[in-house]
Amino acid sequence: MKSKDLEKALTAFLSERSGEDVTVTGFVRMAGGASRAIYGFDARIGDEEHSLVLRMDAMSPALQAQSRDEFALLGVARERGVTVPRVYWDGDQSAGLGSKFFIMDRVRGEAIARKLLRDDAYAATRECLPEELARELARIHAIPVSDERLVFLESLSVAGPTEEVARYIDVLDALGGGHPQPVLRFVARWLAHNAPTPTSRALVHGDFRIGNIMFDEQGLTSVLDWELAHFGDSMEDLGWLCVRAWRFGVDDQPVGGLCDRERLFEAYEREGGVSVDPAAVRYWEILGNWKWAVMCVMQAGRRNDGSYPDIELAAIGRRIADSEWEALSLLEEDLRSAG
Amino acid sequence: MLDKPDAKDLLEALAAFLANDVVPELHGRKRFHALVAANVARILARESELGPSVQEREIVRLSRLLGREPDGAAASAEERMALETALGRELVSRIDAGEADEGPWRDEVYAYLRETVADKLRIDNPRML
Repeated sequence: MKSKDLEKALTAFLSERSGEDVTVTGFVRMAGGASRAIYGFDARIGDEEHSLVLRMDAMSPALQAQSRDEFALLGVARERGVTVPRVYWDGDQSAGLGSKFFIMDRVRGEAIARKLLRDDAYAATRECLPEELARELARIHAIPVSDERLVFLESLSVAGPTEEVARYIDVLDALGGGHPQPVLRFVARWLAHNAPTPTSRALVHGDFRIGNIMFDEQGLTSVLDWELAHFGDSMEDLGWLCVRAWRFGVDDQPVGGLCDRERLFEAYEREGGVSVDPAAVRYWEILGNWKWAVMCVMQAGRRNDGSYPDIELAAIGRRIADSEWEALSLLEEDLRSAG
Repeated sequence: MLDKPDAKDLLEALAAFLANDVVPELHGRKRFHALVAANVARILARESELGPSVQEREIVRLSRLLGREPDGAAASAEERMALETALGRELVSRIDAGEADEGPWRDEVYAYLRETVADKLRIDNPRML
């Protein structure tokens, strides 16, 4: 659908839902990829001015079937004190915008990890962010899994890490093209045989990391990218946050290039999170590094007509060794103690 | 015989041009992609220098791990690549069968994997070592 037509359909949708006269201005595509598109706009609804975002699912029905009901998730999360944009309305294909969508507040801030970790403007943010991240995670994990608006997550959740690993191994098998990946296979065997007993069954964000949060000069302004949310072990989110790739070069600070693990764990417990099991977090950190390596293999395999759409995607296959090295380094201690 | 400079020197010159002359002229996404491009040129420079010895070591190490005599006779580049892949697949099938789950051979496999990844990093990202 053309941008002008989309803007018209959006205006009609907003006046129908609000029962007011609506004027939309500054409608612009902000970001997007294969699975979603994001547009920003200002809307005058009756007498009120709003700065809003239109978040649309991909057009392909196959991808839509997998997409999480982010509208419901954000609504529940906000009620429970998680820092997320306020959501207003959602609609499906019948609303005339071409696919499933929802509308939420436009949040100020920046999401680029390198700015967060390096720019002078964000020095104060770096100082308070570990505690803020811990608080957000503790609140997410306190959301009751029995909330009926989250029932749709049941079918999207795997039974545990062993099933998760098996799923990614299937992906490797499907696209490997015969290229052997002995490191990934070896680590997968260890992961399959060493899964920790879950600390609790919680709502897990699934992609909680630097790069997926928005921030300004004062601190965190929003937790983004909920499309991998599922029910599982809350320790998974803590481990994923420590994965090396999210340190963006500040490698001596394991938690997103910001601080050490102990500071995160203490703050998480202080903010009401369940008691941290460092061995389980470590397991999930190893799994996370492994999973990121598999994702790099997947990305590197994504070529159009024999060439890559951009240089970043072309180079990502050569990042696999980073994650393999990290996973093997973390494993060393465990292998030694197992004898 | 080709004239000098060789591939390594040319790629280093390309990397320096991208990093020093191109990157400062760009902003946003293009600037980031130019930085990635400079890094790609550095990877290729290291690969042209170290690639052959890394592959030779890999074949020897992997053959020993699998209890084979290292076959130094694989002459052409294609033959060496095919040998490396065949040995790698054999290791994967033994790992998948559970042979490296425990015991002394697991430790040998682990040590092999560490050395192999270290060699990859010498080309892809030596700062990690």
